[in-house]
Amino acid sequence: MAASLRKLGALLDKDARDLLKNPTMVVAVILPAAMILLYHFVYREPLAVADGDPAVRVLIDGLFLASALCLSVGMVVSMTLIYGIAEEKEKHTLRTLMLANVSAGQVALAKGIVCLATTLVVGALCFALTGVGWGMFPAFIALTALGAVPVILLGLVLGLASRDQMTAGLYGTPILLLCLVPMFAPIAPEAEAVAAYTPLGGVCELLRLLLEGSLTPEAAALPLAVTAAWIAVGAVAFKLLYRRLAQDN
Amino acid sequence: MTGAILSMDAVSLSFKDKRVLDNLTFSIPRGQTFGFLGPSGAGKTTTIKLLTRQLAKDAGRISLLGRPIERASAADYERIGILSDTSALYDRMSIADNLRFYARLRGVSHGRVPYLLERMGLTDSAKTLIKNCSKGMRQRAALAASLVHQPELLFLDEPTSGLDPAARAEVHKMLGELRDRGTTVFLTTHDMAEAEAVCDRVAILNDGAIVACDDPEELKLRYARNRVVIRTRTRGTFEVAKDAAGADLIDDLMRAGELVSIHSDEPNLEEVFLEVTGREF
Ligand SMILES: Nc1ncnc2c1ncn2[C@@H]1O[C@H](COP(=O)(O)OP(=O)(O)O)[C@@H](O)[C@H]1O
Ligand SMILES: [Mg+2]
Repeated sequence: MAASLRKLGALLDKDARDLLKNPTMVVAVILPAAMILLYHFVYREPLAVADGDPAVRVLIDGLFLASALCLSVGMVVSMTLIYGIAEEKEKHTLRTLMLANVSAGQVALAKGIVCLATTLVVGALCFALTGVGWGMFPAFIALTALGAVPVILLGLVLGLASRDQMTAGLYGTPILLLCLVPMFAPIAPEAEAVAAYTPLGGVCELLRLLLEGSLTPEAAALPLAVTAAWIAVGAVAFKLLYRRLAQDN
Repeated sequence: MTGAILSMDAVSLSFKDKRVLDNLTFSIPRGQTFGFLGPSGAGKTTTIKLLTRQLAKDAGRISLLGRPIERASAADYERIGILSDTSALYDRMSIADNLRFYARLRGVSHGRVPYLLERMGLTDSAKTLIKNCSKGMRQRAALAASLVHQPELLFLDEPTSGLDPAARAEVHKMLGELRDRGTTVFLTTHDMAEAEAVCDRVAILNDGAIVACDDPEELKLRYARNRVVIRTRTRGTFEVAKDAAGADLIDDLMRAGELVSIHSDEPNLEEVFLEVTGREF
């Protein structure tokens, strides 16, 4: 137990430090933030109307928060987590770790924790840029964390399945797209029907209900179930595959 | 096989229908530097993979640290160090930071890092990022990382391949110190001179089978070619068998004033390999 914690500590420290030196990380932070800033220009007119109309306010805040959540989770997982693990496979540092008596589970746990923390930092930054009142912040961060769990589990599997950073790009794209669907729900009716069932659809719906002030146990049941189902899918996929995928001969 | 820290007994392995390791048997007593010698593709890396549980054997028995390999525990693996043919450290970290990371993983003090850097001739490049290191520096840094926890059993897969002669000498010196400290080393190499220089015992592997296994000196004596090399004034240089006919020939040459020199042709392991396998190394 003590040895496992010691190894986890060493891995966390290494992964966290590496993030600060890793150029892809800069993109994972800058892109979501830049998108939120862009929204302020794109939605200039609705934003002006929202100041006098509470119904529009709720709509536009929902749009901003869903985007902040989806972009943070999607970009950080696809850019840092999947690439990070793929790089360790490609350069054989993962195998070197495993030969030093570190288990694939410990490596994955450390990467997952660092990815979650990064997602929350990027999420907080994006939240600040949305201009939504800070009263929503605790709920936003909690839902971002909850929504990130299944995406991180799937990201770990895809990262381990990647042979190199090229394949990581290939595997990261569908995850990113899947994460971004709920962003378009408020503006595209076609997306709305699908969005509810994507990994982040549940938490985005909870966020909307909270903004509208209509978060009842009945209304929350389906989005929570969808989120729980994705967490289960991610956990099962991870459990079944991680050990086998960690090998690289 | 009592007292052996590592042994294989009739171990075989096939990839699909191709037999890669054929009936390997050897045992290594504690403290020995054992050389596993063979040309590229002979099965050296595959053998290390079996011994370190990266692959499972098809048949036979392997014992590691005195127990069947299937029962080796995580604690047992803390007593082992492995430098594989692909061992690699982190690109965006310095050599010293990589070693400190491995020391922390292994639960040993950072205090050993400066010593290891010094022994590997890396003190001056301690702060160099791995991505800016030469292949030889990376190899020595990876070797140092496999040594941070002072393993009692060390697997080294071609530790000096790609190193220049000076770096090779550093590694050989390090191997000498490990032996003095009682570390058991399983070393693969395709370099005969290296095996002769650092190993207490060598097994020669050819096409997945052990064709000879002994003390290097013993092997050289056993397979010593029974010849001397004669240099003459006008008839060139040639080999002569150490028998009666050879003696007569040498006698004639001496009487004729033709003989310039006689060398007893000391065989090296390279020639032993040629002798036992019938093919060039
Ligand atoms: N995963 C594998 N699948 C099929 N053949 C393999 C595999 N790994 C190694 N081999 C074959 O096994 C033989 C021995 O390889 P290896 O142990 O790497 O040799 P060495 O390390 O002595 O150069 C080679 O012929 C190689 O092609
Ligand atoms: Mg090899």
